[in-house]
Amino acid sequence: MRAKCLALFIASMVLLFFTLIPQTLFAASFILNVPNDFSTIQAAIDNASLQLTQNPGNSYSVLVEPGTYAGGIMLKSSIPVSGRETARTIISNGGTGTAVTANGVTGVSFRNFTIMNASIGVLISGNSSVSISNNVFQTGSSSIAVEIQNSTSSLIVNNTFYQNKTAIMRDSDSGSITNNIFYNTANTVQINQGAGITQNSISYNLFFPALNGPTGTNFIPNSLVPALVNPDPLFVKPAKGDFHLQLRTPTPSPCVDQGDPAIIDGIDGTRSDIGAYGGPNADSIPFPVPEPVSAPTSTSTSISVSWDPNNSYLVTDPSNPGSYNVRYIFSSATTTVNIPSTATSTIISGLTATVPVPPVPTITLTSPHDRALDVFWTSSSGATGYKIHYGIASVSENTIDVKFTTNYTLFGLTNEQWYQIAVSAYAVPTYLISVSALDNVGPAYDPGIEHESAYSPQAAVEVGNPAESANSAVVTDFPERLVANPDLPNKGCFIATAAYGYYSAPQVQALRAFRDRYLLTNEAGRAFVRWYYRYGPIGAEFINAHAWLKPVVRTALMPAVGGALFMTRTSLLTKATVLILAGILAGYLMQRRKRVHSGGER
Amino acid sequence: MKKFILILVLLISPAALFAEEPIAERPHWSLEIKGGDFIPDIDNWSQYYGRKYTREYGGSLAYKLLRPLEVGIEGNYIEDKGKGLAPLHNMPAGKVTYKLYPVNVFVLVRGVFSENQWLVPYVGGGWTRMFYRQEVEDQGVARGATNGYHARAGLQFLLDGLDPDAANSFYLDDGVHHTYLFLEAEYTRAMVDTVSAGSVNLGGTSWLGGLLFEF
Repeated sequence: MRAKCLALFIASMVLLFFTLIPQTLFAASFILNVPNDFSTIQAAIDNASLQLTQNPGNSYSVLVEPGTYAGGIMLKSSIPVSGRETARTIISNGGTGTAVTANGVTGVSFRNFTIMNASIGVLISGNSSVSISNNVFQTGSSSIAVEIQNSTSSLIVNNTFYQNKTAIMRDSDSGSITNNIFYNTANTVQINQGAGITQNSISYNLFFPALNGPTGTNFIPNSLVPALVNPDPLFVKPAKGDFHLQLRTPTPSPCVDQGDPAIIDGIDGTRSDIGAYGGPNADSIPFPVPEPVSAPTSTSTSISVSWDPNNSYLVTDPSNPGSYNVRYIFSSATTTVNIPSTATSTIISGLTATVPVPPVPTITLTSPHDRALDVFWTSSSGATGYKIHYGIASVSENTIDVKFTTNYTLFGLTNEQWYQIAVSAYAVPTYLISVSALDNVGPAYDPGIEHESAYSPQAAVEVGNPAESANSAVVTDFPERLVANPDLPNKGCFIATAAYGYYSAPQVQALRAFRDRYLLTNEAGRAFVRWYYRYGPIGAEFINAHAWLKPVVRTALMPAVGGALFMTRTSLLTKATVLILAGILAGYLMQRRKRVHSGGER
Repeated sequence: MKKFILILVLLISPAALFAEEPIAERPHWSLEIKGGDFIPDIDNWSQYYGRKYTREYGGSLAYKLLRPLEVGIEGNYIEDKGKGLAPLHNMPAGKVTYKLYPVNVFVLVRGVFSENQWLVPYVGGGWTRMFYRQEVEDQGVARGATNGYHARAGLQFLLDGLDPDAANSFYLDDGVHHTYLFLEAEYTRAMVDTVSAGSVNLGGTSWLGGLLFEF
């Protein structure tokens, strides 16, 4: 009995525990990835919102990997959306429409994107509470980057507005407009017509070049840097989408460490920068460097590599330099060399300059064409390319490097001429070289994830001499003109069509009618037609290429056209009459000639 | 061509006589949309094109002179890709694209004895103008046309009963009296002289299915 009471007591306590403890103790966070989990941003948002409805104790967010995505995105309450890397996570709206809409949503942040080509970048309405941060707005010179309607608690923090018509349009004082760069923007913060409000809550922004519209407090170029003549934010390379800030000497970017002192940079832990790469949520990934210029040196066991610098102040500060990782891959083995960012070139030495000779390939098939031969062969392991050797008397007469493929068509051959063909495989020691940029704050580095850019496109560099296999067994074949099945005629007179310019010309039709009625009806005529169909196109091609020949050919064709017209357009009686008259005339002329030769009457 | 147009006008002209008629109980027009397989009547076809048949798509429009009797025009499209012949090697080689565009003018009799008849047999035939286009890659195109004839027969199944409400709406909104699913066989003969091997029939046997709208 006591044991039973004890069990009941313990069970009650367990039940009470699970009933009274806060549900958030069991809450889990889920990140939905685009495009790994969902192909579109909207699909991920919709799914996250649905899951949140079903599991209100959990939290869901959407993380978008670098790429270009379509606009027309509708944000939903309590689903934050962020890009992995501001510069390379792009929402492009095709030049019109609204890229992102937040209507009646709360608890949402939208950050780390570049928004391009839209009439409106982000539209916030319906009493929404949204945080827009760390975005670059390149929506176009006739666009509105952010429009706020009836949403007083939305925040616009640490964004870069670049060459928009209107950066921010609002009908009420939003929560705050802080740490933003307004660059070549016609209207910075504009009041919607008729709203009749005051402009408050604007602080620590940079306006370049003109102060157009309300500036608020502590803005650049006045309050923060009184002596500043030119408040250029010194973007690294806007044309390539790199809006990081430069550390140009002696005058650095006026945005570095000049933002709201209450906001701390997540990248380096100092006072916030102004612009899309300041504040706690800025992505820490440097902009990638372009494909390096690489070439083997004269020693043939080393490669010189140079690349364009990453001029972000977090990478190239001479007093506190970041670095570059130079990575080279050879035969699936990867090696990385770290170079301080004060240099933008290096020499990789001690490289392997030899590779094993690849196996001899085998020609599996040759297939004839008109003045061409298709050649197919087996692949050889380790080969980086192939060569075809061919000729009439010997395969050494011609050699073509066909690179890395296992079939090739030899053109420019002579029909019905035998050719000898062989294939060899070769391998060249090839290094794949790429470079990434690392900032000066670290401490952890992960390419494309944190403090290190993604690697540049790879440059392929060949080192040393190729190792080439012996030639395959020689195969002989000859090209020839193909015949379709069925071998249908082209219902046009090639030469006449070329000479008269169009197929429906009456002269062409007369010749065609003659062919159908007098040539295709007997074996000799059909033989002539076959011969003509084979060689006629060659003559037509020549006439088309030499326009001056057309009147000559037309003149030459006159008797044939006249004869064809006579034979096809006249009745049998007419033909007979003309033939009889022609016979009489011929007989008369012959008689007359006889008399002349015999010295008779003239 | 002039003869073709004249025949077409003569066949279609009765439509004008009835054009001003008030809406009748019976349909006056037939529209077919169809597709299926075409088996060419050409020797060794599969040796060069890989299989014995190819795809065919088409449609027709016909006017009903009487409820069971109609005249119309049909246009189809047939295409296949295969190889040509290397005659000295005596082997298939290269790439050939073969296209046919048969245009048929036809008379068709449908065994309709009641507007609610669910199964209707039909038979018809007429004149064919067979246009062709044949391209051997890197060598050129041969195109032309030849005359011929065709005959076809099939069965059509009335679909109206499957969803009477939809069928009624289709009639009230679009004037379509009946919708049928049909299956038919069609034989076409259109001879043409080849360049090197005598004459050949560009036609063949078609097995087609599709939808028929009577309005």
